[in-house]
Amino acid sequence: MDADRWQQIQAAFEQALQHPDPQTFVAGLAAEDADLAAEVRSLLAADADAPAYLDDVPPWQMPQVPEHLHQLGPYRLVRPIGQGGMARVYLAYREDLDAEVAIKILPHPFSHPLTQHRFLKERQLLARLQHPHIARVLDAGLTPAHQTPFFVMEYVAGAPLHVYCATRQPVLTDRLRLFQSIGRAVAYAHQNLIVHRDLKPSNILVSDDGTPKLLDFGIAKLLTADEAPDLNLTQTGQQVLTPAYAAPEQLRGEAITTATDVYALGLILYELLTDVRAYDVQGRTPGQIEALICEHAPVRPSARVRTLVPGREAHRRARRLQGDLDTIVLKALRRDPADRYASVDALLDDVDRYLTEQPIAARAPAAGYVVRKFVQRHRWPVVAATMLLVLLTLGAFRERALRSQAEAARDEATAVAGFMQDLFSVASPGTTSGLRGDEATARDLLAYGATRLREDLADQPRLRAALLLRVGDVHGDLALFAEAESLLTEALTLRQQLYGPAAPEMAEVYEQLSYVYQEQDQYDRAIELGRQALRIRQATGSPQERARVLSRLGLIYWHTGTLDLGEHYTREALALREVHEPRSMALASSINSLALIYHDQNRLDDAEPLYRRSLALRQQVLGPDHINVATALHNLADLRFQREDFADAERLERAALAIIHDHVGPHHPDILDSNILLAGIVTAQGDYAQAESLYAVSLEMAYAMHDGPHTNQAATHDLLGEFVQDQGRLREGEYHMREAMRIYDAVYGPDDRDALWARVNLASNLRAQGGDKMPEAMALFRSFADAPGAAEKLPDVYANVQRLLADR
Amino acid sequence: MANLPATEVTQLLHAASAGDAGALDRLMPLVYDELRGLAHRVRSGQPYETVNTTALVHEAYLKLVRSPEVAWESRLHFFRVAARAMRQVLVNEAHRHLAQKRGGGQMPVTLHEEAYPQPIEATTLLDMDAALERLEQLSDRQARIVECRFFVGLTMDEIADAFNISSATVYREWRVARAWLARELQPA
Repeated sequence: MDADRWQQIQAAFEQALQHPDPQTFVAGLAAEDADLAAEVRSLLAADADAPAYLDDVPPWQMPQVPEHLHQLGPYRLVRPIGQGGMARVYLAYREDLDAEVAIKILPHPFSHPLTQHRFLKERQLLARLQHPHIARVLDAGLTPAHQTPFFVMEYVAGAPLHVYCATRQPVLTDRLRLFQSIGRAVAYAHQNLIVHRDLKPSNILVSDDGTPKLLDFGIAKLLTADEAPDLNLTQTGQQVLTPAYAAPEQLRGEAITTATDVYALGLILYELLTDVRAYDVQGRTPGQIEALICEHAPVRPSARVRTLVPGREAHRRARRLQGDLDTIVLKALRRDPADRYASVDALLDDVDRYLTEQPIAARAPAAGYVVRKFVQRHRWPVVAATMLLVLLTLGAFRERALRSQAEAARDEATAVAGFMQDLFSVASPGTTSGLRGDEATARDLLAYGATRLREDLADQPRLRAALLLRVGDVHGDLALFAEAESLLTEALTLRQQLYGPAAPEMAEVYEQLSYVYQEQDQYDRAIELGRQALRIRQATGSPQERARVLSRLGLIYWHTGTLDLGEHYTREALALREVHEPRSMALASSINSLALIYHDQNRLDDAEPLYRRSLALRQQVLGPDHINVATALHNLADLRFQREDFADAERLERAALAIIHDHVGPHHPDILDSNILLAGIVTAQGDYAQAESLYAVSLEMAYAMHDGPHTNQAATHDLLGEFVQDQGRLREGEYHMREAMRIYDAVYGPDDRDALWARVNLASNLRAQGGDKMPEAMALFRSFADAPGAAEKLPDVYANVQRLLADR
Repeated sequence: MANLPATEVTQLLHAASAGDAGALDRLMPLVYDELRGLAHRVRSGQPYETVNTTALVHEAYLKLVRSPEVAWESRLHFFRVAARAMRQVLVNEAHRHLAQKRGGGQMPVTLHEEAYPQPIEATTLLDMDAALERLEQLSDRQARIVECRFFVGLTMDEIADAFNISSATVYREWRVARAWLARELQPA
């Protein structure tokens, strides 16, 4: 390399850093100049994984413990004991408890926001984990001098795994038991939806009594983020990893799943068995290491041992590894994640089978196919899963309990039927409606009908009102809410004139209009109309009619998030229906509504049997292909998704989507919801391409469906934003976050919970981008913190933002 | 060298500020000797790792320059030279340190790449020095910036002033040099 070439490399490196997704940029570069691309890639990796002493100013000559860190609250810092990622670790002593602890701290304010973010995230992730083989977090705080965050961990007096093995030389079975303890800790983390991503011998300390403890969750990743949204910051695409211990998918910048940890455990097991690393990376450049790991399977442990140890000893050791242990290690180290053990537990089970001399699963014939299937079912990808939360606010399926009931007078009903028949006759060719039968859609017909209603029935106000109500209802069902609202308002005025505002005839209009307002997110009006309907029904209505209004109010309150009132009304409706309408669609709806409320209250065990009962009842009453069966399928799919049975969720949701599509055509809120849930499910199963196209279609639909700004658009922007952010595309994420915020601000006002949430999302995105985006990020965080009621509406987020603002 | 007249250093700094590149080269041995002497006295038996180079350079400056009429700009020129000198002092110390260890047969064997409980090792320092020599071939300015940052602990802004370039440029140069060094120093 000469100075000119170096300039070229430097320029490309800087361009890559500025690119929203450096890896994409490098991939593009590779087409022109593969060498240049390899250089830039390795510089990016080194940039993200630079040793801490390069950033310390100046490094080594600092006192053993910097002066301002001599005492942190009750902790007296004794000496540095290591470093994990960018952070330093000190041994400290807490006098009042006579306890030694380890304190982890970022060394200085040079830390990139991303580094700080990772640091805080590690603290939060670790706090979730309580396991005998994971170093526990005991305390956390800010340094008085620089307000730098630190956290206090259990101190493990011991040696890193490789040092422990080199000095103690444990026998094979002890090494395998050590491995099992480590593996169980990793499996436990996975159960808590955390992937470690940086497992290596130096991150595992073994105490003198032989107990291993997992350390350094510095680049661990939460698989589903059910916490504050600013934790959903994604990496800027820079890889942070130790090349020698990186899995091929990490080096290739692909999705990281629990399978990545399985691979790392495979490397650790390899090393435990052979005392050397699976890949000899000595003296190789990062590019060469990458090629080695991505293109070559490691040498079998038994063969490796033969090359390392002389003579008969080699033969003896190799024989013990040959067969099962070779197979287990190589299976964990397969390049394609789908070919590896499906889970850490599966890997541990095989080690256990080896120890108890049972046949291991990895050698079973035809296991490949089965395992692949299994892996696909159980893989937990790294996805943005605030999705679940957003899905719930986006709304599961709208209930359509208020379908028109034939309760108008008989003659009126006959007249209505006649009108409808007449209306649909225009669908035949040769009529004068101006509509060609083969082109006429239900929408066109309804529009035509609405016009005719107003023109032809001017002298029959009762019939006109009844028809306005029906046609309005149908418009509502087709999600043509603006038309529905105007038709129903006309019906309302007409009937008020005819019958007076408290007449039984009014109740139906109030209910329908309430539904339309609810669908347009105008909940105050929806509630007011629902209450008027309830007053009338309580006085004069049948149990069925009372139940219907109660059920409607329950749903509206559910939509507004007032879950206790929602539960109250829904239970009342359900009680009436159990008695008066057993085996009915209405009962199924109430059951479903109550399940939705439980679902929102996170009472999954209460919700699931209700969803199943509702589904069964609907299938029984309505047949398997009814639109309302789709609703039940969708809701159950959502719950199964939350419970991480992704295959089941996908099966249910695809069944729902097929039904909905046949019934309402491609533009309907239910299709939107269905698409979005499906996107979440396929993301969870690793099919990012399909997920993205589902989101894109959803966004288009959200705009096609509503004329003005609507929360469906905002929620979809939010989801797509999260999704692209997770793919490392921060700039695109920023666009969607901005749109989401804009729409929520417009629809709900800037102090609304969703609007606040969107603001924090945008701020977090900008913060992750850093640089000149920081001022705006901080301004947004501040405006969030200053918003009235922010602390009550989003307490966890509020606390995080306050901390973040204090840290600066 | 301790009795070097302060005015000589001051004059060399003025010359450097006026664009005389040779002035800085002539300054170098003066500063080196001063720093080495200071380091030796300050250390007096402490391990070399605990020497605070920032303090040393400041002390050397006070001894050698002192004069209040030396502009801030010249002071930073001084730091630029001092950074080179400090590097040399530390590298020589590290060589001596390792030689002593070898004599005593005390070389620790690192089994893996992670320097586990070490703040920084003599070998790392020497690796850094060697890497910087290679970096000099690619970009002299980047090597100088690293020196200022790593061996003296100047801030980005101070470096920018010392080199008469913008802070943004310093940061860019530092970022790529840092990545390059991280790669070079990557434990194989």
